[in-house]
Amino acid sequence: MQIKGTYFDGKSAKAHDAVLCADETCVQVKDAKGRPFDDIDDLLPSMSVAPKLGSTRRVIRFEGGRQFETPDFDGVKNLEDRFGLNRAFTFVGFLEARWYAVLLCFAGLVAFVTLAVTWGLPQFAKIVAFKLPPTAMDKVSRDALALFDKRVFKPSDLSEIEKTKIRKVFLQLTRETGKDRAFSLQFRKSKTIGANAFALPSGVIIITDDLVKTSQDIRELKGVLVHEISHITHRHAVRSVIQNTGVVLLISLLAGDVSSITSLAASIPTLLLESGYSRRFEIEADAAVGLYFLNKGWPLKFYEDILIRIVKDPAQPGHSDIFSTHPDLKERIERLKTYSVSAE
Amino acid sequence: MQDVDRLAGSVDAEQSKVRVYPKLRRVLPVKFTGQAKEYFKIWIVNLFLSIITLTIYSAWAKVRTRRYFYANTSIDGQALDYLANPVKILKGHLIVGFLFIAYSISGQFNAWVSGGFILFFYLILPFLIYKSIRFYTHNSAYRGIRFDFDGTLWESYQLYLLAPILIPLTLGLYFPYWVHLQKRWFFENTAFGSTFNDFEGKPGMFYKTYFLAILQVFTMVMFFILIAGLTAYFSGGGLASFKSGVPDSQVFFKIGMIMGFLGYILLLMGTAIVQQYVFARITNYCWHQSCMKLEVMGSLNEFASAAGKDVSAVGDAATDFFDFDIGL
Repeated sequence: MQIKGTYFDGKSAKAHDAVLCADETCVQVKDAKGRPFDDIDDLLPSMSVAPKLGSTRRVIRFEGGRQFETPDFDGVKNLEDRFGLNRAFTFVGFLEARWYAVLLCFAGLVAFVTLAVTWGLPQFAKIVAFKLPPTAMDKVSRDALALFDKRVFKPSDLSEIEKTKIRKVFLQLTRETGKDRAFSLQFRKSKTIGANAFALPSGVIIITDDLVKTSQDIRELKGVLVHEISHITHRHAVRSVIQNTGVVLLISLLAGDVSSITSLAASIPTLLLESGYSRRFEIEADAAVGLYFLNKGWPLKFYEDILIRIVKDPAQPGHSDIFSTHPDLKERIERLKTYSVSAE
Repeated sequence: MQDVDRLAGSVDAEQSKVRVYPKLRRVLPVKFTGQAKEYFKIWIVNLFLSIITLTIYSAWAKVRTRRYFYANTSIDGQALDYLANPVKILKGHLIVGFLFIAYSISGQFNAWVSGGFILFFYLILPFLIYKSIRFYTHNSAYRGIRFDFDGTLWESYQLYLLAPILIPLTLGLYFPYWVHLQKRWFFENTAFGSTFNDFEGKPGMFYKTYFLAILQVFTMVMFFILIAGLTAYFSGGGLASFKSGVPDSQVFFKIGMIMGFLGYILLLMGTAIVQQYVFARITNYCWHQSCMKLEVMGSLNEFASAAGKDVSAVGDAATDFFDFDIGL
């Protein structure tokens, strides 16, 4: 076969009219007089055909910077077929040429990203989190507690008797539901936070005076503590870190660069995803409470009551209809119901 | 052009000089023939393949994109070419990606380590920029002759580590001048084969452009302040707290109402951004290319190649990963 085009010898910028001749065993590039350039008989060993790219002219490269260019698409396609070249990129070119293929790619892209975000990344984070040592986030926990103590927390007002009582309950719970580590219960007081409980990945659980005071039955407190313990045993903090890092990487990959993650447009989906993940962790911790109560034969109402009472806490601005203004809470209570229904 | 003195007439003992016989001075326009529609399709397929291969394909996508723009840029009837080997770029991507993941994760566990990473990054950035420019100029070719970059590593450090210090010191006034310095460094040290370059841009032009840009940005900022307020609302949280739903859920309710409205805007913005990104790349490139002209003494045929050197790709990947606009 013969393909007409332009030849560059890689040593000067001069363009030569040329013809590329190929048969089963050899490839030559000849000048207008029919002589191979530089008297090279066979250029096949060093031949590299650049894949087709849109409607740009085809380029075939040889050693020493020599190259041959041509707008003869059919000719080069024949060459590729004859030597079995660029099969993968011919397919890519096929995708790029047709609008329906492009739309399919786009749909595939959306599907893949959705799958990765809703399943792939959380799975990966779970597997990795359990491979890491439980002490991985101890320093962060210490720093966080120190920060909270400086800004938000005051020492607890509860009596020693009360604290001891709750600590005993806590110890029993950790024996029953905690697995591979040591736990510690800390009491604090805070006007701004009101009734609440926090779990730090190092095994420290903090409970506020207001929460203790607002509870009417010890089972309510047990529910809260089981929830917090499960945050730790399920390694939610580490998984959250890994997932959030993954989200950052994914969004920056889609946006084309990492610096864009700081842009506001990128931070919205990031925050949405991260909030979504943390909601899932809350539900997982609630499930632990559901199972625990089921095993003990306690009605889940105790746990639900304290959840609602926390939300209604006077330290927070009040609302008349709890569920309409707290769709999150509504979802959690509804999921808890699946545990009490099976008990009856 | 100052290098005419170097070119005209004399034969130099050194291999790197070139003899050119002075002929008519010609002005050759740079033509760009790429099309937004065509590029858009390439871009989507690139994105799709990059994501499903977990970014492995992105090295090939990068080369493909560059090749597309180069191949659609022609001077005197011949187009440019990009010769980089994607495998090298892939290696660069892997190194940089690994470092970035290490940085992200360490940042969550220990603030000191992540601070160390940031410091390390600033110290290594001029090196990465230097390597990147060398890689992509060396792999750019015209009529079979490669370009080259002859700036030194030390110059890169002066320009990208020391000079930026002046920017906050002058409350930003130094910035356009700094951009001018960057362009000048790039163009003055870019060589085509064995021929060197000269740069005649003046700082004034840069100041004018940036002033206009700032006006545009100001209006955008007003819009984003609105969005910022909303996202600040989101970041309630703290650690996994028992009632993490609570402060957030009140917000979620309000957000729910605004979501519909915002979602519509985001959709508009989203499609606009996608369009803009693609078309901006094309038009930006067009603008650059059609504003660029090549003045030639004699014919282009006389340019000769320089002794070859292979250049590693870590820099190229790094600056693309972090998207520092250091090129043309």
